[in-house]
Amino acid sequence: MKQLITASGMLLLLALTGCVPVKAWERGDLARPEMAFEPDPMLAGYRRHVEFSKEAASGGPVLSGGGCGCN
Amino acid sequence: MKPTRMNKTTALQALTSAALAIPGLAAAEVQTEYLYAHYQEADLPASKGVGQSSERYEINSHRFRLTSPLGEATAALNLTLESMSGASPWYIMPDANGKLTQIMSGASISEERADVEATLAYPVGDVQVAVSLGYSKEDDYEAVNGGAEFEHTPEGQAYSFSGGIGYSYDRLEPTVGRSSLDVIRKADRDSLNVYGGVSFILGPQTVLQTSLGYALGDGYLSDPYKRAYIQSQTDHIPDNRPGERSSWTASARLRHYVAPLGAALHADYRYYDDEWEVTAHTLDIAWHQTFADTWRLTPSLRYYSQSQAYFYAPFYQNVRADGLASSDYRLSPYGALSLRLDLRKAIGAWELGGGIERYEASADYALESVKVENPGLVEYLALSFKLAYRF
Amino acid sequence: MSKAWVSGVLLCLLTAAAPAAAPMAVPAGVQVAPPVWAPQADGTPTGLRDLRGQVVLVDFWASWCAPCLQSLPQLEQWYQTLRARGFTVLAVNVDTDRAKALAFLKRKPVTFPVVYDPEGWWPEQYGVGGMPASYVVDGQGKLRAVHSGYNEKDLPRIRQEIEALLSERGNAQ
Repeated sequence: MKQLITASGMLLLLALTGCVPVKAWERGDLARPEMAFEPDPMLAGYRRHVEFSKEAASGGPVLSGGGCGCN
Repeated sequence: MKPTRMNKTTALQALTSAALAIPGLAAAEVQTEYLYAHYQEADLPASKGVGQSSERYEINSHRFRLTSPLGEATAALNLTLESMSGASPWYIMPDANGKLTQIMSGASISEERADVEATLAYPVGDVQVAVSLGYSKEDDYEAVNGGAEFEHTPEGQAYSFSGGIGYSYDRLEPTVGRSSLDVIRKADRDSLNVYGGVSFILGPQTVLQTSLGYALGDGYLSDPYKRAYIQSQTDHIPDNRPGERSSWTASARLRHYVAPLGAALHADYRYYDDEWEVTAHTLDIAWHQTFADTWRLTPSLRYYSQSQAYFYAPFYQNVRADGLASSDYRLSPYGALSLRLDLRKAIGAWELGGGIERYEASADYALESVKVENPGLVEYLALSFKLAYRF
Repeated sequence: MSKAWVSGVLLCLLTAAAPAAAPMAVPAGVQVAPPVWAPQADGTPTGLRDLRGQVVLVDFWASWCAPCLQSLPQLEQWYQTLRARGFTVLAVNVDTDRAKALAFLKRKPVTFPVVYDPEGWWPEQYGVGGMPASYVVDGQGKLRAVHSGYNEKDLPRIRQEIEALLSERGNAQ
């Protein structure tokens, strides 16, 4: 049930953003540094490492490096 | 002379920031970055923890990164140095009333970790490729890893494909507890992970990336520093997990630019499911607010919830028939909430910044109701400082 | 209910997946280049009409386009060496925020004419499919070559094209 709610929430957000074909010269906002999937790879990498060592789940659209003896 | 058409690094480079996961591709300049992070776990309250030391982990991390164009390619070098100290959860003991007590590892562990990683990104036709190699070393742990990623935007299209494959070989040699006969001397494991995704430009202010990932771990996947309490034996046995673990992830990352406010909204969701019957949901929402052109304030909220591994128990009545045992809080059912605030300021070619994060794990935050909360769940505070320079 | 959402989103993804701008096909060397007529920084308009007789590279760029950091200085260099032979660049900026374009030009100054088209009228006429995009126009105002994106490897070829057109122009005179 909760998964369903999460999924519908995502879809709603999607639908609200609308969709218009975007011309090459109209992509200025998309090219802004804060619009990157990872605007700060170093900080994101640090946080991923901490979460990886404290939680059961890991992975996603990134390569996982080596593990660690983190306790 | 015939008219010619050329199609090279168009959308990809112009859109690097919006469409790419491979880092540093648009870097036409040499860039250096330094990140310092101080991580401090909250001590367990006296009601939960006992042991010679209940002072939990403290980690100081220094990360350096150098990115440089190399002809058509971009090279990146990452270096991490960490020092860790503190005690960690060892096993959980129930008292006569069934109340759980976390027993902490005796000695306060103190060690260093060094990690180097080099990445080279270059175009092959109209596909951007990045290969990386890494090595990580601790007193008791060593890992070598490598991987390759790609990104491709079909010409004139509003979508890109990306994917990657990574492999890691890890070897461990526990330093503490060697006197016990049942603690392993040496062990190793292989890990493989692959992912593939598509990102779509949904509008002039909106991009969405959806991806699937698969990972496989094979070898020694237990924790040599943890044990599980067996009530019928009034003794504890080594942590023992299956020798294989495959997992799947499905992720979505949405970026939306709120032009009137000059802010970017990030929403990331990941669903995780593995062979040990752990399922987890992660939702991360961030608001990147730019003001006065050179300042950026980013509040973010991360919610995480996981179910337990099928063989997990805070303690066991008897040894399981399959011999598996783990009381590790990381395999227990719980949820976690994390609040963060980061600030960045650009001054010419410099960038300066700092951030704070508070993370709290609790059975109360779990999506499904939890019968018994693991007393070792973690709560931490992380402070970071960043300095970057663009040549 | 949820099915409606799903189909709405699918439709959305499909339209997003359709070509954002149909790549322009230049038929065998005879197409007339759209004229380009837009204001420069000081407000005076200019365009291909004012540059008739010269070999013109029409370049569409923006401050947010990372490869433009390399392409504009490259064009400036060609302009400096080839202007005496009748070559010029007409740079069309497509930033919606003029200040950003000006800040970019302060960092990477150019001496050829730059016009501002925040509405994107001219890239639409040219059917620009990527950034940067450049169009080589001969002395008669005919479109002779199209280049999308920036890649150092292509530079010698583009330069050859320009030089060939300059010789063609020299012979005709």
